[in-house]
Amino acid sequence: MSQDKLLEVKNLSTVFNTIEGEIRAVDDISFTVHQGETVGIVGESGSGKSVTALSLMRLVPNPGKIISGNILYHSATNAHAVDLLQIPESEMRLHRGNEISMIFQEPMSSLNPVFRCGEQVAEVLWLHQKMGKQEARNKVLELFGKVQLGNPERIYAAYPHQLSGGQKQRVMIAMAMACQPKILIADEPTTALDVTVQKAILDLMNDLKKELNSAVLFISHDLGVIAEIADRVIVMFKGKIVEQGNVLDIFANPKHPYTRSLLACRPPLDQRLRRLPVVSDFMEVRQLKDGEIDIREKNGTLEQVVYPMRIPSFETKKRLLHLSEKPPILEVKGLKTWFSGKKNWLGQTTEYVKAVDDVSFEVYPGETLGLVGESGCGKTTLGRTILGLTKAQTGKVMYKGRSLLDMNDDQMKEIRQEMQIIFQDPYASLNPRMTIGSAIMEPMRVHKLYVTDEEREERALQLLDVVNLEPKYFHRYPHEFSGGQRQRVAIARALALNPKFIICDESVSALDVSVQAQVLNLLIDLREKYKFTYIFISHDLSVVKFMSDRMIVMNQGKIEEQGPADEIYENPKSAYTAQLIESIPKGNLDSIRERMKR
Amino acid sequence: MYQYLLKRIFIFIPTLLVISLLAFGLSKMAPGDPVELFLRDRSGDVERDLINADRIYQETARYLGLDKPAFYFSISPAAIPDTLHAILNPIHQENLRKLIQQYGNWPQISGWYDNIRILEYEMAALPPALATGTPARNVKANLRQLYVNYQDHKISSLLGQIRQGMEQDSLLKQSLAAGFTDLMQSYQRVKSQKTRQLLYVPDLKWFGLNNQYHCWLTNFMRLDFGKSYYDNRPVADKIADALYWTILINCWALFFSYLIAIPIGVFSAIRKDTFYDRFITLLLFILHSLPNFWIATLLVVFFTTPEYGMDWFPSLGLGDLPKEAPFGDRFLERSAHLFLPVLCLTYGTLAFISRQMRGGVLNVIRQDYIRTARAKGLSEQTVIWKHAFRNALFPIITMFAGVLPAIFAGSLVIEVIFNIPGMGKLTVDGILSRDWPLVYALLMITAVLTMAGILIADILYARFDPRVSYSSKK
Repeated sequence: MSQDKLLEVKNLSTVFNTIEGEIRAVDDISFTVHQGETVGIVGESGSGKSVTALSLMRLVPNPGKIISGNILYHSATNAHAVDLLQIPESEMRLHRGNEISMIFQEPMSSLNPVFRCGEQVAEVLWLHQKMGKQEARNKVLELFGKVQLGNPERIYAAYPHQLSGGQKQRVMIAMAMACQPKILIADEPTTALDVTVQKAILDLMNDLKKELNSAVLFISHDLGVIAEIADRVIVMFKGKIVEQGNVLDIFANPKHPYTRSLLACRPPLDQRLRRLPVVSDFMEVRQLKDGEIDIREKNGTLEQVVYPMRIPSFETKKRLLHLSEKPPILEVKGLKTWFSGKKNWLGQTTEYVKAVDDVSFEVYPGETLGLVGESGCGKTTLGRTILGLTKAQTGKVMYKGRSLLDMNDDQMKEIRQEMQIIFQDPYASLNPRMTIGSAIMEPMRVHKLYVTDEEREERALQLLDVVNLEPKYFHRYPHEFSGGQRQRVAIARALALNPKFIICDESVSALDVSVQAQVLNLLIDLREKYKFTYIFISHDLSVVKFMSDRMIVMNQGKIEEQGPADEIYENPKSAYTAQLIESIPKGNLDSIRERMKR
Repeated sequence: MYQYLLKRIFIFIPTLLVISLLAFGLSKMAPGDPVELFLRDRSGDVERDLINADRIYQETARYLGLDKPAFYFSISPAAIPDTLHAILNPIHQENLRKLIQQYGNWPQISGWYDNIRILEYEMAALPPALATGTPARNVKANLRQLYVNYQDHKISSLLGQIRQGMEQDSLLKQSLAAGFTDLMQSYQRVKSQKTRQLLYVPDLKWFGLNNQYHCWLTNFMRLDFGKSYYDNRPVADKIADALYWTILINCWALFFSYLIAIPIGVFSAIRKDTFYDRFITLLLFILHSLPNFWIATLLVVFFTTPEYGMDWFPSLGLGDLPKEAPFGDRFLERSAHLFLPVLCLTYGTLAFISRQMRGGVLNVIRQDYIRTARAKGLSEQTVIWKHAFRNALFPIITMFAGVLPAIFAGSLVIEVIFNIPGMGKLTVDGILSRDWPLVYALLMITAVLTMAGILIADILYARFDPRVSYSSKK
């Protein structure tokens, strides 16, 4: 690693002028990026890490504005450093995509849907390298090979909607790498992807970085991912840098309480905890009158905070034994949910997509059953089929001895009171034109719980309290809330009917790790308090392992493996499970040291 | 894609058939006797010569195809004969139907009807001196009343009046006595030989392909829309003439409105909430809310008369240079005549299209892939016109589905004010003069064009948006 300075950011401040006043998204930050190194920026949403990246590109969207600072770029061709904030826009455009390029979080929407993928990559080459069509095409095909896209010719001609998320992100990487940039900014490039794909993308970025000797600025909310790739780490909180340093130092000896909480709030793989540590276990944040933030550190090292939360393994065994004593609350036998794929011209189905293919399992009262697998493995369809939201082809679903698949609408409505689902996307599952209060009251109205609306309102306020939301939120609309708060509202709504059985379908997947920890703790508290039975569906094995007593691993509609969660993690029987476990970012010192050696 | 197209066209056929049934049914229910409508303004006094008039009536009805059954089949009580449609006069036909509903005995009723006609013919054959006398005139009037009455007491009283009239003139009585006796007897037969039970027996009558609907439909497909009741010209010719002007004006208007509105929309989107955006928006909304008849009248008043010193455009009409005149001259004259109408049609739609475009672009430039395009280092021009524009076009394409029938429909107000013989005027004139062949032809053509417009919009979608795929494979 050479120590030539490549990018020096000095006292950068970016503000957003909104109706409520000026918001300092990036507040007086300074850092340096050296040639060939990977700098990770970590923080929760709203910490200003994405705005920092966009500021470097001078692409801050309206009404954002860079109000002060310098971004000095030491290019190889120029003897003097260029201040990227001082040069005219036309000159800045020569750098963008050429010497500084960027990969975005959402591979699904970051490619233009109406142009072919190949042409979108070639466009950079036409622009910056003045290549001819044929030359650019050959270069793009070569790049596609480099980012390990099979059949580059096909990808070149494909439109974005014809590719998977991982493939699209590879196309984006090819685009960013096309002109061999000096600096590559990657803004949460793997957040929307499955762990196995994430691992492949991270490996690819590591390899490409070495080959091109570029510097990489890698942004993530997950310290575990940062640990897989970064040499140095910058921790941001509310627009400020609270800590920066070598990745080993940060992991071995985190100085700031916020860094400690970020390290602690990831569900651990090597031990079982009663609940996850959250930011408030490590520090207290107060907003002062002048808009400044006061952080007060609480006593206690990482170890001291985590230790009392541990569950000894004999207790886990006892619980498992105790759970299986009662008869199962839910039995699924030979369940098949097939969707029609190809149809002939009469509209008859000739080929099926087997989303759930011959699945059998039991759920015992009071237990949490984890369901894990990659996207497209059928885990969501399975959850929906159990609730009768999707029609099953064949099979049996018995709830408390009654067959759910043979019920008529009235009986099903009765059952739905007891079985609730919490969806993945807290943004899409709440009606934007309905206040939080009426959203929670609606299921009570539908099921004619309580007689008057006053009683329902009282119950809704009670539920807001249960999920730790203030009663004043009752009359507010969903857009006024953050993702974590919205998921709490969705949980409150599910609780409105006093259910016994709750299916959590990727309920924390859209949240930052720090917020995820809070929501997971809430779910666990509710389980203790109301003796709920959960089916917990997620693509993230570490979360599923933390939550569940027993675990099912699904792959391509079939069950790969099922058993006690810890057993499966420690001793996976199928190769697929082993690969899933292998792909989880470990985020511990040993794995970082091992990576450094390579 | 082609399979999808075929499928769509295949679905069009039943839709069109249903619409054609509706149109045809409406045309049958429309008030007025088509033969009378057709003969009006053309024949002189029909009353003067009964035999001749009857012949003309029959011939006309046959010419218009009205002697055929209306449809392929009918379901009616067995008492109603399958030849009722051969009674060409719809008023007579209706009265006979009522008689059948009363007595159920068609053979007797048809004898009664024939006897009325025989007596009428006999009266027409009377020597003029006798026929012009008051008694004969009264008898004739009462006789004609028999065609339109079905209640027993009315018929009896009419018959009584006829007898009284005949008593007044011995010569008249002598010449009509035989016929009148037959008439009386036939009515007695109607009343005495009732077969009311036949009214309760349903009967399906099959008429075959030689019916009015079939002929109308097959002619329609051959683009033969029949002849106008109004001036006997082929409807197709009339439509073609009017269509020429309407399409000419509307296409130009459409072309200019898109040409002007799209750039305005794009620019006000990228300069959102600036002075430019606000100013343009205000201006367009003012234009949008000015009624075009008012603007059109103002334009005519100020720019086509020398009164205000701005007689820049020729006054109304379309110019009268012969076809042999050089193309340049004709083009200039046409342009001068069309300028004001096109202007009137254009300004109102500007606001709508440009707002659509502005909304489309605003929606698109928020997308992640626009940020990607900027991050590539592309210039703002390329980002907007290459990456954003094509994605912003979709709402405009949706609008296009409605454009095709609109081009065809024409604008009545503008056509009236500028005296242009276009589709708007043709349609309204057709409705006012009860020129049904014209009106229903227009109805059918509009239906076809609407469906074609939707299909074209779908094809355009597939052309511009690769995510839209109409092929069956996944």
